[in-house]
Amino acid sequence: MEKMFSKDRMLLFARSIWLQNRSKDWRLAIVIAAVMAFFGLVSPLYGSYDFLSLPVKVILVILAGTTFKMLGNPSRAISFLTIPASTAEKTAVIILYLQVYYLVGMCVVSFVGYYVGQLLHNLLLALPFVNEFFNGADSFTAHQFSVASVSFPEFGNTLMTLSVFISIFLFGSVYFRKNALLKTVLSICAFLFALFLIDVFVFGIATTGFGCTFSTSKAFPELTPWAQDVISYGLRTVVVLFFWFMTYLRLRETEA
Amino acid sequence: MIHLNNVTFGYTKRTPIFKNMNLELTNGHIYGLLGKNGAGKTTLMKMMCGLRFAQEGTVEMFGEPAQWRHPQMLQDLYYLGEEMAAPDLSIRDFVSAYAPFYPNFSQEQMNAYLEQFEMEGLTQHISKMSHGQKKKVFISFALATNVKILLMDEPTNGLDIPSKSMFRKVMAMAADEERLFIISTHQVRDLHSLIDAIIILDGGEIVVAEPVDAITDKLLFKVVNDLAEVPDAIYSEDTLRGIYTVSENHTHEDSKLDIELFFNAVLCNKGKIKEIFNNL
Repeated sequence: MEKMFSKDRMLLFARSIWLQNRSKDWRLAIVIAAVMAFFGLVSPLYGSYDFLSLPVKVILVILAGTTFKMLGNPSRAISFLTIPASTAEKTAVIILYLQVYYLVGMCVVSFVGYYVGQLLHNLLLALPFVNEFFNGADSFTAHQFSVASVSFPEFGNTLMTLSVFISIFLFGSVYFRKNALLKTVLSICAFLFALFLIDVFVFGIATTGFGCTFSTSKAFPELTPWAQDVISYGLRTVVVLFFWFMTYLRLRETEA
Repeated sequence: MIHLNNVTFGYTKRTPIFKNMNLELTNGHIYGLLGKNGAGKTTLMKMMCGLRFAQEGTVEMFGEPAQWRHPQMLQDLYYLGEEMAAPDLSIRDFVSAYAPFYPNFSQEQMNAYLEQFEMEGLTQHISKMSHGQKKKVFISFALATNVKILLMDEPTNGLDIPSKSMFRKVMAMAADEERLFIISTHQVRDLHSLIDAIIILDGGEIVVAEPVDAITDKLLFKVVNDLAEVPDAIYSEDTLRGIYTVSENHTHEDSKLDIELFFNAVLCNKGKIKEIFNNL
């Protein structure tokens, strides 16, 4: 095990990825901050700021879906696969990058961008001619910036669902060599459609007969909220771990 | 160090590139890997570093299957492909990012090789360099890693004429008894003085894998004016300088290996060459 998993090599690999991507990451951070600042500037008062906002989620999923883009390019694939670190170390570092570094980074950058946008919004409104110009417009009324109090069950729930998508898109990026993001989206759509058909035609038959309604829930007994939570978190954890493991296996079998 | 045992490989199952290939390579040599286009030179090198998996048989590096890509194997092995991905990093950052993976990496050597190649400035961005300059950086890095096995695919492609001579110089500086270099090339004249063993791939098999001494011990390379002087010639080429011949060296006469001539002789008379080198 020591042969295949070394903390020092993991740190070296993480450092090499950081060095390799830092300028790209900076550019991405600036773009996200600018976009969020724009939203902060023009949007009406939300009342509170959500750390795991939709743009953050979408960007994280896109990053996950393009993680192994280099495997589609033979020379880049060779460079990556021949770095002296084990597949387990490479997979673990990449997961940590997505689930910690990029997640925290995106939350911070988008928050800062949005906050700066809101500050600019209020500063601009302090100018008499701007105030006069936008008088009455909803999106240009001064407001207090506030951050939503983080409700941990809700935050954990969102984070868990996001992790499921990140793990699926991560696997998609190693499974599909070209256009991985698009192919993963299409695969998810196909899977959901298949689930829909199963629900309608299999569980539908069992419970309500043929009919175009979601009926799976009717096939199972009512559960207490606590049991529902346990099953929901448990299932999502299993899905995340499953796709991490599949990513590792696929990477181990990858040729260049 | 490198052991191929009954290796069969093909990009499709119906058309194997290699069939039951066996090969044993030891340290202390610079092997020239020769073969026609599509013979499988790059594929063979990729299999050696675990980038391609054998359909049958095993490829072992340092006694372990290459396809496991164990870090212990990879830190003693470097594959320099014909086209290398140029990272968006300066030379200094590239070294800082990747050198720590190689325990025997030497910054002094890296600087010395870059100096030999007349590359100045560690702050230059690799992605903005010309193809030849990138190649010089990667060659310098590959040699400075001091790995035991170095696989180079067409390393002189893209190098200008002075750089090719510099390449020979740095390779000679880096070679020692502990290391094994494999250089795949079509430019045999570039590396004539460097290679001390030859591997020839043809028709999905290794026809010859012999040190240069063993080749000149068994074959005689001679220039004659009349082919009748070498009645048992295995191969001959008519040129302006005379007729270049390859024949069996029954008299143990000394001669200088002409790699290109030898390669052509192998392709034209494979059966006879295999018989001479006891590969039948």
